[in-house]
Amino acid sequence: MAYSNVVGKTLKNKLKAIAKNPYLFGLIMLVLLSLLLFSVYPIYSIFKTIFVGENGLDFKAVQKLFDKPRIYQTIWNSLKLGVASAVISTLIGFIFAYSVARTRMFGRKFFNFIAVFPVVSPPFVLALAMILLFGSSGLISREVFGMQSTDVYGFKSLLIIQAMSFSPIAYLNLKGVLESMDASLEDSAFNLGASRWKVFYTITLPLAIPGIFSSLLLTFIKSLEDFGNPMIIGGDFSTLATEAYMTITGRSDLRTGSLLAVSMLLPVLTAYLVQRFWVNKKSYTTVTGKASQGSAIIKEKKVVVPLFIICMLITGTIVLFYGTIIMGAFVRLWGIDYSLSLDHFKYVFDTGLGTVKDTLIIAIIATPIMVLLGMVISFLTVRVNFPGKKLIEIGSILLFAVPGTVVGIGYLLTFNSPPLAITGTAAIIILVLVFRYMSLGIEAGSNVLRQIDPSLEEASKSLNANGFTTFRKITFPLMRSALFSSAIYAFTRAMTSISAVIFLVSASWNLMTVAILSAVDFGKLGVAAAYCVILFVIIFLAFSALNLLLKQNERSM
Amino acid sequence: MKKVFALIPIICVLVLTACGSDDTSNGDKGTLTMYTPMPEENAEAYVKKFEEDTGIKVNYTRLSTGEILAKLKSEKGRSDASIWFAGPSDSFIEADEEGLLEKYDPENLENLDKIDENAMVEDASWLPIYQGPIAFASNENWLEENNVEAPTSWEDLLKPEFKNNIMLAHPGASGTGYQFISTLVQVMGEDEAFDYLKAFNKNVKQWTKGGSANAQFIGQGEVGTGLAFAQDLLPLKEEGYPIKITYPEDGVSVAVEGAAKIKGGPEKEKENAKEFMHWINSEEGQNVYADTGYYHLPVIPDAKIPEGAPYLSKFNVADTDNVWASEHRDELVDKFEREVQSEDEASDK
Repeated sequence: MAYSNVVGKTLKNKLKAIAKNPYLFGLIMLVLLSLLLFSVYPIYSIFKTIFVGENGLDFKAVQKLFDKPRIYQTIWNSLKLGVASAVISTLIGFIFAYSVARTRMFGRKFFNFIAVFPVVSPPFVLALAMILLFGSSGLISREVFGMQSTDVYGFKSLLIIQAMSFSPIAYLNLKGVLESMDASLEDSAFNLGASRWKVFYTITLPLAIPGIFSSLLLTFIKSLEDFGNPMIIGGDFSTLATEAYMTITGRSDLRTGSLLAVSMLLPVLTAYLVQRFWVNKKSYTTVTGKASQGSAIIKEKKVVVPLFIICMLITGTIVLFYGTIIMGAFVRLWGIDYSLSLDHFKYVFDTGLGTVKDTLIIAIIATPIMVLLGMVISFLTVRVNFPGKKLIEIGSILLFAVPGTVVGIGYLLTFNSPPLAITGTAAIIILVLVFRYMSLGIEAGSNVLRQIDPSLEEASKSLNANGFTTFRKITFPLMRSALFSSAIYAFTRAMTSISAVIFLVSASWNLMTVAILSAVDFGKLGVAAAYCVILFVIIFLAFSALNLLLKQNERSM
Repeated sequence: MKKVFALIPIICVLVLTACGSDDTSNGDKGTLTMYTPMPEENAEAYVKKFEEDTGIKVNYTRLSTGEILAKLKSEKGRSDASIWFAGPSDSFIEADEEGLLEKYDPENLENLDKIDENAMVEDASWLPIYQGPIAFASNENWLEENNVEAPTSWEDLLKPEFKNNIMLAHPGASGTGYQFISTLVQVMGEDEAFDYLKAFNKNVKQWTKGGSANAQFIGQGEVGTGLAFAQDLLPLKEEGYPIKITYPEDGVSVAVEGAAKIKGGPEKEKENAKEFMHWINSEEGQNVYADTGYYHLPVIPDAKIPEGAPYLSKFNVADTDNVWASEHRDELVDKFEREVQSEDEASDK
């Protein structure tokens, strides 16, 4: 009955213990089955496409891949960008999270808002803003500095944009970790005379390591599979994701393109395994239920002021970029005619209202499913010991690790024939979103769960509460903040994801991001910006609604 | 609380199934679903005209040509759309070879035998519907500030004043880019064309990934000059971008665009798809470009030419073969990447 007591030494024992609890058994089977069907099977379809040609098994795609003239350069570019942007976005995320969680500095609420903001934008919006600001006819480069010709295309721009785009992932992750850390540890160390620095690197930092590593991992994956930004601002700097996409759509070579995209799994899996085996070996339990949450508030000026300055600088940059997009939505013709106009919004309402509606419906349905599934899986993988656990772990991160384009193609290949012929429906888009982004909910959930001492739950059980009651009354409330961040993240991903859905939209179900990309494609930057502004507003409303819900929930607990 | 938890999955399943079975209530003449790579507003204009003329309701999705082709390839024989409307001929030729298209009914078309000879491909399953020339587009302000004449020949693009100031779509990524290099090869011969491209590459700032955004970048002054289809440039010029359009005297590259019925489209749209093919080839369909104010050129010589659009008869049109271009695509793009573009890395661009 007790989940955490399931530590059978042999498979037989494990199975026995699981079988004793039919609900748990059913749940595991359900999760396992859906992962097999919606994560593993589409990827299998792709491998089949890559390695099975007209005359059975062949490796033509592999040969073609290594014949590609710039393949090694492309691989190196991707890895370089991935590592650099993972480090920088995790650093930015940590600074913001630390400032918000550990100080009472002025503007904390605002910083919290700003740190999360890039997550609400479609992936390529910042690249657009970069061109509008620093391109040859950019607002800053040309209008302010009078520069004739600039070169914004390439590695540096990409790095800046990715660091901004992905730092919210690190921020949300690390903020959850810092907030749920038992602050009394830090307080006592400080009261015993340790310097702030010493407290930081002997207590805070080590305790935050699981969070830091999962942030590094997540942002690394994001950077690797990002194709919107490199498409727009990469210039001649090719990455695996753009090369894969271009091979599929530009050269219409599905096999080599898929292979290129799938090859990204290698570094991703390596990073994932390093995390699993190194980080998880340590124990980071700090929420023991034995002490009340302390404060650990830092008041010293020499710590707070530099943090504040860094936060302000980053905030300034982010505000500038998004301000540019908002301005772009209201300006008649960027770089030419800066007079204000509502034309772009009129255009969106004339041609794209259905698309806005479709996007909303899909996001509203996908979000609760994503969160619920993410929570269930994080609970199963952290708290329950059962055979097939590794499978669930791998299955749940699989689609997140595979580049979106491949996921989309995989879904198309898999679900366009009976028994599950769902191409052209909303269901296929919802499913792809759920199985692609639930891993973020799982990460957030697991981070929190790992810090909650199982003895809390055991105590509840020894007081005769059943598993469900324990989960509801003990575990769930402790996971709430992670739940909130993953709900918001799920919703925004559903609203803004592009690469996975671009092949799955249909005439009956189209999405705003696809409309934005096509507007960019045709040089309608103003229309693209107007779509973005509408997207921002919707997500902001959802954010407020969820926040309100959470607060109400807190009161009623 | 417990009930809520139990309800969530049930609700999800219900909603999912509800979405899955979205049956559109049919009007009198039913619906037609299509993919198109056209900008929404063009597509919208043409579709509206078709709806008016026939009473058939159209649902369309805008995707790039490459995306449509990839989608068709992986859907193979089961598509939610019946018509692929617009896109360069070589993509249609490729789709046709892979058996993704359904033959139109020739007896159903009014003007089949009137289609421009160079646009028509024998025994193909797709229909040429309009054409467009690739033009040079220069930023007027840039020309003025740097005191440079707009290019009027391919040779002009090699001039040192354009160094690092040309933008063109990558031939591996976009139809515009490939149209350019395949025309060069067909007109100059392969060796000479690649010598030209190597010299040309020295002036290129960036090989972009899309064909149309390029026009916007030129309008904004991101570079001084570049190449794009006239029909993509003219609307931007109209919008107010300072774009000067010129055409190469030594041979204008003209691309043909097509439309086709998709094999395995919805059964209930069969008749309507047939009706669309008929319409796009008819007098009304060919005049639609002129009537709606966009700049695509009809493929029937006696159809109306959109006001402000270029007359092909005034140009020295390069003699190109679409089928040849489609067949040599892989080979030429590979060669391009290997011999021309790899020089960028060497020179640390």
